[in-house]
Amino acid sequence: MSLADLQAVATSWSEESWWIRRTLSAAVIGAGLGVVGSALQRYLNNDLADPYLLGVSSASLLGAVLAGVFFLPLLPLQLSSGLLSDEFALWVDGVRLAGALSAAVGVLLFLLWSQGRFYRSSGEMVLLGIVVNAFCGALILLLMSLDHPLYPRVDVGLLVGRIEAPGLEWLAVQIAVVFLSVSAIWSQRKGIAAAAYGFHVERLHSADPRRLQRALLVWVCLISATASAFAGSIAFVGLIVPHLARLAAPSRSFGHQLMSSAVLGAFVLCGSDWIAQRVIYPRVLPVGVVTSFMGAIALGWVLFARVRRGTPHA
Amino acid sequence: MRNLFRRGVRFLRVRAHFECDDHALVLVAAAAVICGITVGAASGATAQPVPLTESAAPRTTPVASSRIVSLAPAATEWIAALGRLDGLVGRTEDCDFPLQALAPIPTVGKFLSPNLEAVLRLRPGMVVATDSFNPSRLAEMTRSGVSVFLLNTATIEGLSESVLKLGLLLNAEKRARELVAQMKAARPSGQGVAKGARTMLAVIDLEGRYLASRDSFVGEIFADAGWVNLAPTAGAYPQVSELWLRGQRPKDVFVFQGGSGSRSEQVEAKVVSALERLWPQKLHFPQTNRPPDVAATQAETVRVIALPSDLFLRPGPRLVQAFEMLAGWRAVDRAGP
Repeated sequence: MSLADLQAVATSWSEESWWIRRTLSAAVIGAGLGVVGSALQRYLNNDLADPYLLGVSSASLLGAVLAGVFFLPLLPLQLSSGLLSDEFALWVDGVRLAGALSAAVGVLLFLLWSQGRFYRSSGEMVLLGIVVNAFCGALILLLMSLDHPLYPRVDVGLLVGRIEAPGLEWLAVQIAVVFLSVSAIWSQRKGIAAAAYGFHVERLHSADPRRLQRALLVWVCLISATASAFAGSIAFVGLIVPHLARLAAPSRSFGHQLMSSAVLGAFVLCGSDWIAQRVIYPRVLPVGVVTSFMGAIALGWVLFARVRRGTPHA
Repeated sequence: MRNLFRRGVRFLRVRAHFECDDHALVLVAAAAVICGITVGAASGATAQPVPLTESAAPRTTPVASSRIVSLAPAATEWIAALGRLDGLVGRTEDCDFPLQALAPIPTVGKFLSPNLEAVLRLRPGMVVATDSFNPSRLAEMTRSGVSVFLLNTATIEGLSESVLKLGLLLNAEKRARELVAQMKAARPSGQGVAKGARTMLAVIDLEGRYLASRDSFVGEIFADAGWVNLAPTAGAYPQVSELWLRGQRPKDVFVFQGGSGSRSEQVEAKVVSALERLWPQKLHFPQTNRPPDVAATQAETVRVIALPSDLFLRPGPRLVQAFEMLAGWRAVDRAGP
C-alpha cells in the first residue's frame, strides 16, 4: 500500500469519523431534550412544557453566544503560519460550554432564590421562567442588531439550531453529562410522576418535594446548557417527543415514557439533522428549521389524534 | 468477601438515590470538569507558544497546491492570482472570479455557510477562509483534521502578510511577493488628506445603514486615497441611525453595487430614492472621466458615486483596480470644474 493510499484511507476515516461524531452528538442531545421535556411536562402538569419554558435554555443560549462574541476573539488561536492551531476546536467548544453553563447556573440560582419571593406554585414558576426567557431573548436580539454584516460575531447557527461533530473530548463530556442527568431524572421518576397530583401525593414517594424540585432544576440546567452549547436552539424536540412517546404507549408507566422519550428524541434529532444536510445539498439548512417544521406538523397530528380518541391527555 | 460485596452494593444504592445537596455538588463538579478541560487546553495552547509555531513546521511547508478548498470569494481570487487554480477542488457559490476558470470546480454551499460534509467529501488538504468566518464553522473542520488557513482581512497590511504566508504554503512565494508589491505600489500614500480633502461616507448596506469606518480595510482604501471618513469608529462596520445620517453633510457618498463583470456607474433607482429621503437637497450623480460641473462644487451638493462591490468589498488581488479607480476620481477633483 502506497503513502497516497494510506492518506486516502485516513481522509476517508476522517469523513466517516465526522459523521459518527455528529450522529452521536445529535443522538445524545436529542435524548437529553426528550427526557427533560418529558420530566418537565409531567412535573409541571403542563403539556406545553419544554426546556425553554423555565428560561434555562434561553439563558444557556445567551451565555454561549456572549462567550463566543466576547471571549473567542481574545484567544490567540492562529499560528504564525496563518493556519489555525490544533487546539482551536477545543477552545471554541470549551468557551461556549463554559458560557452556557455559567448562564444556566445563574438562572438556576435565581430560580432557587426566587422561590417564596416571586413564586410559590409551579404555575408561578413557569411565569417567572417566561420572564427570564423574554429577557434573554431580548438580549440576544440586541446582540444580533449590533452585529455587522461583513464580520458577523454572533453565531447565528446557534440561534437557529445546528448539529456539529464535536471533538472526542467534548463528545465524552456530552455523553457523560446527559447520561448522568438522565439517570438522575430516572431515579426520581416516582416523585416526578406524583408531583402532577400535588405535594401531598408527592410526599408519599419523595422525602421532600422542594428537594425534588431543586434536583430536577439542576439536571434540567445541565442538559439544557449542554444542548445549547453544542447545538444551539433546537426547537420542538423537548416539546413534541414526550407527546409522541405518550401517544405510542399511553398505558405505560412514567419511567417507560421517560426512556421512550430518550430513544425517540435521539431518533428525531438524528433524522432532522440528516434531512437538514441533504434537502438542499450542497447548501445546508439549520437543524432547528427542520425540527420546527416537523414539530409543528407532529403537534398538529397529536392534537388531532387526541381529539379523535377523546382523551384529555394523550 | 461477601460482606464487602454487600457493603459495596448498599453504597451504590445509596448513591443512586441522589440527595439534593449532592445534586448541587454534582453541578459544581461538572462545571469544574468542563473548566478543567478548557483550562487544560488553554495551558496546552499558551504554555508553549514557541513550540506551537515550531510544531507547525511540517504544516508550514508548501502543501504543493494539492486539494485546496476555498470558502471565500477573496481567497479564491488570491489562489487564482497565485497561479494555483489547478489545486483548487472546491469553492463557494459566491466565488465568481475568474468565472470561466472556476466553472468546472464544484461548489460547497454559500460563503459563510458552506456545507461541511460537502467540504470533507472533497478530501481537502487545506481549506482557505477569511477571518469573517464564525469560529464554530472553522472548528468543525479542524476537528476533522483539515488544515485551515485564515486570510486576515481586517487591514490591508494584515492582508499583505496573509498573502505572503499563503504563497509560502502554496509554493508560490515569488508570485505572492509580486502581488503584494503591486498592491503596495498601487496603494495611494494618503498625502491628499491635508490638502483639499473631501468628506465622505462609504455605505456598505443602505437598508441596514451599515457604513465602513476607518477601522475597516474598506475605510482604509478611502483614507489612503485622501478622503475624510465621517463614519463613527465604533467597530469596522458601524450601523447608524437614519437620524444620524440626516445630520451628516458628506461631500461624497460611495455606494457599492453590481457583481463581477458589472461596471455600471448608474446608481440603482432604489438607492437613489433612499438617498433622496436622507438628503433632500440636490444629489449629484457624476460620471468618471468627466470634470465636475458647477452644481457638484456647491457646498450643499452631495456627490453619489457607485463603485463595483466585488472590487471594493472583497479583499482580493483586484484591490489594485480599486486603488486605481479612486485615484481617477481624485484626479477629476483636482482638475476642478
